[in-house]
Order: sequence, then structure tokens, then C-alpha cells
Amino acid sequence: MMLSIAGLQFNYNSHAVLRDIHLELKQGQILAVLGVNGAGKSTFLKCINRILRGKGGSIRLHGEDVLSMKGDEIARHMGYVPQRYGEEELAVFDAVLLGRKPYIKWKAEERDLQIVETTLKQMALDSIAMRPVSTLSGGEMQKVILARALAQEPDLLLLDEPTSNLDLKNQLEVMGLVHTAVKGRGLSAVICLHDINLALRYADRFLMLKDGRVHTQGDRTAVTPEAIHQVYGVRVVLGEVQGYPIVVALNGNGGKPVNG
Amino acid sequence: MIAAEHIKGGPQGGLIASYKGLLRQKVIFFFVLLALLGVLAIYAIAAGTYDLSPLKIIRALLGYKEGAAGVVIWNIRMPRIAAAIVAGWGLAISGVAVQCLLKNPLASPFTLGISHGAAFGAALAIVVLGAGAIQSSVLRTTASSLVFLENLFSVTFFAFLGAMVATLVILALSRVKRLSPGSIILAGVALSSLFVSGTILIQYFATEVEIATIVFWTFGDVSRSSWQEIGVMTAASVIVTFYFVLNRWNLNALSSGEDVAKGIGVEVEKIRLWGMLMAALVAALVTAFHGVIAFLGLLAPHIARRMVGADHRLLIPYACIVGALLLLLADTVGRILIGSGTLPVGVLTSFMGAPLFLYLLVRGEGK
Repeated sequence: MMLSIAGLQFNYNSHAVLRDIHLELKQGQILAVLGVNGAGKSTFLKCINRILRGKGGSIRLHGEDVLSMKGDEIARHMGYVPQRYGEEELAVFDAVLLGRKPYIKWKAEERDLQIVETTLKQMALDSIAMRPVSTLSGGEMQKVILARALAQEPDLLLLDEPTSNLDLKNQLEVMGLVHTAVKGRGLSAVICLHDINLALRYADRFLMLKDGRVHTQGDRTAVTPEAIHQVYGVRVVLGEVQGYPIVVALNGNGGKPVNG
Repeated sequence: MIAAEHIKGGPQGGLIASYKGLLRQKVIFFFVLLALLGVLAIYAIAAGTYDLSPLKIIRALLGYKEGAAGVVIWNIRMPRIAAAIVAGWGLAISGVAVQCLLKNPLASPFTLGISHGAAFGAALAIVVLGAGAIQSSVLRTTASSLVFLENLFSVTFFAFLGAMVATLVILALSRVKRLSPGSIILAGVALSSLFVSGTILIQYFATEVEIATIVFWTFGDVSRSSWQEIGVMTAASVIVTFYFVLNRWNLNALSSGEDVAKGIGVEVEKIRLWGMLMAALVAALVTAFHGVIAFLGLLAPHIARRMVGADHRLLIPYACIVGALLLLLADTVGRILIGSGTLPVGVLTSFMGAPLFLYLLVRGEGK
């Protein structure tokens, strides 16, 4: 098992944000974490790579205890793409080179530079490698952040809303790159997503959070109209168009606010 | 300015080669700046009311006794030039650090109130502990040197305490209360005026001599330091610069955002606290010996960033050299233009820094 989490709990000022989270994820699988705003999706992601320290529970990567690892060691195993990233003035090459930081002792070695070059080329970012990140478009920026996470040579990718603020083409491009990386390199990924359609299209496993607890977990069959209604408070129909699974909301306000 | 944008990866895997080429260019340009600093320093030794021929300067620097010329060079001009270089360097490294650690382009020892905190601490030491002898150090005799060292220590220590108070308040406001970068600068203004008021209050109880000692802090001046003070300042600048060079990757990570930094294994809280302490230390020492030199810690990092980009591997050495260059240039220009050599360098750095500060403020609002 690539990643196994049991009994994870996280409190924020005595308020329980996450309660008794459990999860099993195999190599090559993409897990979509779904739920309304404030359900604890981002917190969950940050607990996995210990940006936030959960209370109790265990997180194991390849059977090894993540909670007792050093920061550098975690970063060599998990690449994290945060939701809101600060404005970066670094050039693209340097921004991606930062992904090698967990490996760099004093200076960047030839191997580090080669990994950056390869990653940039794979993601078609090589033509803008010397430009400051702050001058890029939203889609390019997101790809740079993803490239940095991949340059960490992780086993596990953690992505927090990688497609928010992106147009349709860029959404598909970024998710496509994640999909290719996970399947091609034999990684696993945990992705927080607002867009259920994107989740259905790219993910193998689904975890629906409600009020900090696991509501539903499983493969595509776990994502039922009932589960979505219970988690989001919106009635939907699930269908298929030209082989792609889709979800369509029926009513916007089933008595509860609509988020997500 | 090096036009990084125009260099692209070549057709057959030339990306690393062009990246390295760009790095090399920037390293070479660093040595150009260093040479420029050397030339400016030599010019600054030669320029002034007492005429010195280049031959005399070279002979004096090589250790030959050159009589009155030697005295002018070693006791008057060299300390002033060395002080300008080290103070500029120290304020610049402090500015680079606080801008990155607080992720605030408007931050600097001066705009955060750290400089005024240090000045207040030093004023307190001079009046309350009677450490005033420090500023008349040029006229010092060897007999008083033990007292001098004691004073040097207490002024330095109190300046550091004052700077620390400002630093901890700023850290608490930005970390615990999560104030925006603009609000942090407003807090810095409030802290500064509080410390200035405190300094004025101390003056009220001070003797005339003590007042004269304190007043020059209103605008920083590099003309009064002794070799001991320069030595202390240099040691601090070296240690602090080394600390930030060690942490250059961490600073790069932090400049990309806190979550990014944590995601690649950076111990953000630890580095922020230690970094702020280091930045405050060097700014406190510069202020204790030379008064509040306005805006230099803001100017130098921004000019360096325009030259070399945001990569702290290069930004740190560039900012240090630009800081040294700027302060020496400002001091020399002030000395030559006014002639008498009494124009405090802080006046000139204010004239340079305030417009940049306004520009950054306007640009920040536009976003």
C-alpha cells in the first residue's frame, strides 16, 4: 500500500476540523477529495505531509511512519502543490530547481539541473525557463508549481485545487499532466477538487468529506447522486457523454446553501 | 540589468548550458560591481579639502609613514569610507532578509521601526548609563579606552534591545495578527514615532553634551566611527551574511510562499525567527554607531533585485555590494558637494529612498 492513514484527527483551537480519517491508496492511483468549502479538504492534505500536525492517528507511506520523518525526508517522498501560492519573482528554472532543495546539500549538482531540464521539457515549459514566474499566465504558473513538485521526485503528489482559476483548456491540460505523471512514473496522487466532473474524469478513487468526517470512500461507484446530495446538498444526475462521466446539478438550492 | 528573458534554451538540450551561462554572467557582473566599489573607495580617499596625491595614498596604504597625509588617510578618510561600506552592507543584508522573511517588499530596518528602536536604545544607554564617550571617539586617548570599550558594549547592547522590541512587535503583528504588508509598514511608522518620542523625552533629561551626542541620529552619519566600532560592525555583518548565505535556499523557498516552503521541508517558523533576530542585530549595530540611515535597507535590495533577479544565491551578495556602493557614493557626494564634510549621509539616502518607497506603495496598490 502506498499510503495508509488511520484515525487521523486535527483540531483548530479546540474545534475539531478532521475526525477519524482513514484512507488506503495504492501505487498508480489518483484519489479525489471532494466536499463543500470548509469541509476540511485543504487541512487534510496539509496533515498528510505534516505541514499541519494532526492529533493522534497514523500516516504511513510504504509502511513507514510519516509523523516521525524529518521535513526533508517527507519532501523527498511527497510533492505538494498548495492552493494559493505567493507571487513568485524567481525565474521558472530557479522556481523548479527549488523542488530539488530536499536533496541539495550546499549547491545544486549537475543531476539536479538535469532533472529540472527534463521536467521543464516534459511540461513544455522550456521556452519560458528564464522568465520570472510572476510574468506568466495562470495556466503556466500552475504548471511551474506542478513541475516543482515533480522535480522533488516524489512517490506521492498532493494537489490542492490545482485547477481553480484556470480556463477549460488549462484545466484539462494540468489534470492531463498530473494523470500522465502518476500513471507514467508510477506515483500516487491525492487531489482536492471542487469540480466533480474533473474528479470523475481523472480520478480512480474518491473520498467525500462532510463536517470533517469521511462520508463516502471508494471507486467511481461510490459517487452516487445520493452521496452527492448528502455531501453538497444538491440534487444531481450522473450520466455519460461520449464515454466521459458527467454530473449535472438539478436544483441549485435544495434548502441549503450551494457551495462547490 | 541583465536581460534574462531573452535567453532561451538552445535546440539540443542547451537549457542547462544557457542557465549556467546566465549565472556566470551574473557572477562576472558582481565582480564588476566590486571593482567599481574599489575605484570609488580610492576616489573617496583622494577627494576632499586636504589634497592627496595618488602616490601618497598608495604609499600610505602600503604602510609607509606619510606624515600629515598618513594621518588624514588612516584617521579621517579611511574610517569614514570603511564605515560607509560596512554600514551599507549591513543595512542591505538586513533589508534583503526582512523583505523575504515577512514577504513584504516595503520592509526594511528603517520602515519597520527597527532602526529607531535601536537609536532609542542607544540614546538610553548614553544618558542613563552615561555611555556618551563613544561618540567623541576620534579625540579619545588611550587611557580612556577601557571606559570606551565598556561604553561600546552598553550602547551596542541597548541598541540591540531596542531593535529587538521593534522586531518582536512586528513579528507578532505579522504572524499572530496576520496584518497585511501595508498595515505592517503603518505599524512600523507608529513604532518609529513612538521611539523618536522616547528619544526626545530622554533628551529632555540629558545634559547639553549628551543632547549633542544624541541629535546626530536624526540623520545617520558615517563620519564618526572608530576602528573598533567598524571592527564590531564588520564582524556582525560577516556572521549575519554567512547565516543568510547558508539559508539562501530556504529564503528562496520562503519568497515563493509559506506553504511552498513547508512543502519542500523548510522549517519556516524557526528560520523566520532566527532570520529576524539576525537582521535586527546587524541593523542595531549600524544604527548604534551611525544613527538612523534612512531607506538604505529598502533601496539596496530593490536595486539588486532589478539587476540580478530574486534568487537569493545571487541577490544576497549583490544587495550587500549595492548597499556599500550606495552609502559610500551618497557620503562621498555629500562630502564633496557641501565641502565641509558635515552633511549627514542619511539626508541623501532619504532623498533617494523616499521616492522609491512611494513608487513601491503605488505599485502595490495597483495590484
